[in-house]
Amino acid sequence: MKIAITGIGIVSALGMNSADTLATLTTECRWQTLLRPPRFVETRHKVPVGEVGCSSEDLAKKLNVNSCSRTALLGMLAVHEAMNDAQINSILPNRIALVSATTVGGMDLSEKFYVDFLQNPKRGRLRMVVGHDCYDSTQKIASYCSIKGFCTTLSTACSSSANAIILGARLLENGIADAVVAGGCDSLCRFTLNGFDSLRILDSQPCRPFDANRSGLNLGEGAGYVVLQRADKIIPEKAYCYLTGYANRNDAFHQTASSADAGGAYLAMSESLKMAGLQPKDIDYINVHGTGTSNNDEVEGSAMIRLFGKEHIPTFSSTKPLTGHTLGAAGGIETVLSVLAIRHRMLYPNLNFNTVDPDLGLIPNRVLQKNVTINHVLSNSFGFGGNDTSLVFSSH
Amino acid sequence: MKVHDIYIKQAADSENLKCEFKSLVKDANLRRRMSRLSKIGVHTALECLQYGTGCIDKIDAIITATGYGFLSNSENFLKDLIQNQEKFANPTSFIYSTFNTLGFQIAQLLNNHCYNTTHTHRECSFESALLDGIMQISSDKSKNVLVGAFEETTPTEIKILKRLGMSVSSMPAERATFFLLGNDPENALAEIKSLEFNVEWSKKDEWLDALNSKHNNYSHYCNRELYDQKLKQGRKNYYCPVYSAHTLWTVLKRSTKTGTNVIYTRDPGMNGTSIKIEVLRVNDH
Repeated sequence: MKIAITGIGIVSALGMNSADTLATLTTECRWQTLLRPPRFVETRHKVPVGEVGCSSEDLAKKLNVNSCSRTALLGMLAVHEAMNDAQINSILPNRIALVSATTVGGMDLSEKFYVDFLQNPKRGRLRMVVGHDCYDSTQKIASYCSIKGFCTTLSTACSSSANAIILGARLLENGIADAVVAGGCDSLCRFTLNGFDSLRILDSQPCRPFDANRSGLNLGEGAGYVVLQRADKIIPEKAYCYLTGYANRNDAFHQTASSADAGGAYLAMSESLKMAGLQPKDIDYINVHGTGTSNNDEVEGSAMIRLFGKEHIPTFSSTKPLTGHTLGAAGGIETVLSVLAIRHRMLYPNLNFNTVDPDLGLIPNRVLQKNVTINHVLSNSFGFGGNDTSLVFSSH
Repeated sequence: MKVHDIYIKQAADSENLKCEFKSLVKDANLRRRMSRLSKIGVHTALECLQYGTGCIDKIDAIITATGYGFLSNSENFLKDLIQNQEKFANPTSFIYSTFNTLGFQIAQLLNNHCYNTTHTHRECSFESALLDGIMQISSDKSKNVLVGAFEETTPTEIKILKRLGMSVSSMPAERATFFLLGNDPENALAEIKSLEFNVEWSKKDEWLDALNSKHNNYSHYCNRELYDQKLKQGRKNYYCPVYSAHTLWTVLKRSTKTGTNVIYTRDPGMNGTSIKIEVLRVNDH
């Protein structure tokens, strides 16, 4: 069954919606200011992050909702945009499903609650902790956007929202819904900033994916969702592009590092191509996971060399120097960016790349290329727990 | 939705584990790195697979479900970073705080690269994972799918729940339930007949009646919260996210009633709807 993408919604450091995002992507002078020290997170870590340029209070006002976790607010914004974009008003609300992914859930508020609670278990405002779990954001989004069909939440670290998109496609295939909104949302918080700091993989400069001197990632936040519908149930003009292949594979090697033979990453990419019925040479662009950590880029690069052959690697770039690593939202945000690449015929730059890594010998795309015919895009999302997921998007 | 030709082949619950953990996970370093919840989760999953007996040669999907995940790891890391003013936090509890930790640990032990995901939808996490598992078999041609739920309750969680005015059940701090689903009826414990989401609230009377009915081959199990609400209107009761998985295990392994069994779980967000799992017990113990 062919699955069409009929709506997109995105919020990230690149902008508050897809029009904003597109404007930033095509305005080179704005790129270098996207990653800056956090303004809305109270932390001593003054490292660059890809923050959404709006406080939680202002986001709540903009959406006209009571204040809740930033994760939920970002999710509401992007899901609302995706549903408006897809114009699915004719579908019954109980036939619209939501598969949302998040890794931090309501942590941005519960970590504030916990500061008071630690001093005295009778202190801390309870309304800051009731939305701690991942479910809470999904439910708030569903309620805000009047989604009344099947709803669920996935959390598989940095591959979460790519897995949400896979589950969304399978719900359509099984007739559980007529339209599925799938993607993910995550907000910056002290918990993740300190988590990645404790692992010593936060770069104090803007990240340099695939560069020989790369020294870690920058965190980001945001939300990215797509509306999926069966291609045979819509008019072709409604489709941005199609989800033609996907695979979720596990590296089964180490909780935070990837195996040297890149087993999981290779399997995810090759199986998703197989499902799409494509040969490696058919891929026009890879939106790589490319976090900028030594381990990820080395393993992802090796898997690409193994699959495509060193001489035949398609044009590839990491968009994380533009958005930061948005964790559970990354797969959703990068899916929307892949859709925009196909629709607007452009290839994104991999910023901050200067020196070829001699162990890999790979050079990513370094400039914004326009008017490029892009038929097939491969998007990678790899995470903690060896969770490796690849998606293939095709123009027809 | 109606489900066809999907069977529950095996089931295990942390309440009734038979093998020693050491005999299942022989690597002492690996055991030491696991939190209590991981140990119980891995132990239950491996017993469900009858690991080590060579019965199951290949698992095609590992699907885990949890409401709150590794709460104590999350809390330890948070405490660490607050108390040390964001300096020198120990990464271990951060690394193992991700919800997919258990799914990974099972994959690692089985050296299995298959589909692996984690559903985290509060009370409905298990049902969501079960739907994923059913779809894996019915449309994705998988043969053996491991589906399970795990949860831990921490002292902090209990304090917060009490402040929220909820009564807390006296379940063990860490618990897990796992099922092996397959497409082959041979030696199956039960056949899954249907899995329905958004079942109307109004039908609760129907199943509460059935709960009390004396019909031998028809028994209903329900979410304790809903049952209690029926009994004591207005009383809030904390409902453990793994309750429905545990109830399904009880139906399969402990109940004396064969025939069709139905398990209801309230969906907390969907305006008073519930999820209904219908299974036909085919193998009597």
